[in-house]
Amino acid sequence: MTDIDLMTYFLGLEVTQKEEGIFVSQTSYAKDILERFKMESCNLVLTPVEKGVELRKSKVGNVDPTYFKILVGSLRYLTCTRLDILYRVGLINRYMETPDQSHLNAAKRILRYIKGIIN
Amino acid sequence: MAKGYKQREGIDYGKVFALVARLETIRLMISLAAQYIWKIYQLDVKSTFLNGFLKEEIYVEQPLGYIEAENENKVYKLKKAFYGSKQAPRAWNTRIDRYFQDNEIEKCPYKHAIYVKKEAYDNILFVCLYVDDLIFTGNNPPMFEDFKKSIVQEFDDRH
Repeated sequence: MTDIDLMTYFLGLEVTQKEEGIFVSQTSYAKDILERFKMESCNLVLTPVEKGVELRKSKVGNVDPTYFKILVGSLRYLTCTRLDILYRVGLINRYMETPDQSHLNAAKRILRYIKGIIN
Repeated sequence: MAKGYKQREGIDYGKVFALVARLETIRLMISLAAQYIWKIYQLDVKSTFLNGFLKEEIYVEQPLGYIEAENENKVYKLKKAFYGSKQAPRAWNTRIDRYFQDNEIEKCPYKHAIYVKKEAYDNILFVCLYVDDLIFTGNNPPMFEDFKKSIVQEFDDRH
C-alpha cells in the first residue's frame, strides 16, 4: 500500500486541488489521442461540428471499422471532462459499423477542435 | 506467467468479473468534494493480485529449474491468486470487499465500488475503488488517518 497523499492523477484525470476549488483536466490524455491519430500538428477549428454537413449511413464503409471504433472510444473517454464534444461524439457514434470517409472527416474535426482547446 | 490460458471454466475458475468504479462515479466524488470543500486523497496497492485468496483448488507444475529431486511428479497447490490467472482480479476484489465489511465501511447500495463509513457527529468517509487504486474523501481528517493506518496494515507490501 502506497500513500500518494492528495489525489493528483487518477485514471487519466489530472486533478489540482486548491483553496478555490478542484480543477480536473485530461490534457495529457488528449495529447496522447492527437499523437495516436497523427494529428499533433493539424490545423485548428473553433467548433467541433461542421455547419450544414449531414452524415448518412454508408452501405460500404471504406474506413477500417476497428480504427474508427478506437477513435470514437478514445473521444468518448475524453467527454468526461470535455462535455462540449459530447454531442458530436454521440453523432459519429452511430456510424461505427460501416464508417466511410465522411464519418472519419467528422471525427477528425473533433480532433482539430481538441487541438485548439487543449490548453 | 501462471499459464492462465490453460484454465478451464467451471473447473479451474468460476466467476471472473470484478466490479470497478465508473468514470462518472469518480467525477461525482470530485464534485461532492468540491461542493463541501473537502480534500481527496489517494492510495495505491502494490502487487495487488497477490493479495487475493483463491476459492478454487488450483495446482501448478513445478517451475523449470526448480524441480525437486525425487519428487519430480509432484505439483504445488496454490493458496493465493497469481498474476495471469483468470480469477486474480475477482479474488482481489473479494478480498478488499471483505476488508471493508469487516471494518464497518459499508458498500454503497446505489453505486458499486463506493464504500461509505459513518461515525458519530455526522462524520463521514467516502472511498472509491478502482481495482488497486483508491481515492477517499470526507468531512473528518482524523477518519482519513485511521482509515489509512488500518488499510496500510491490512495490505502490507511484504508477503
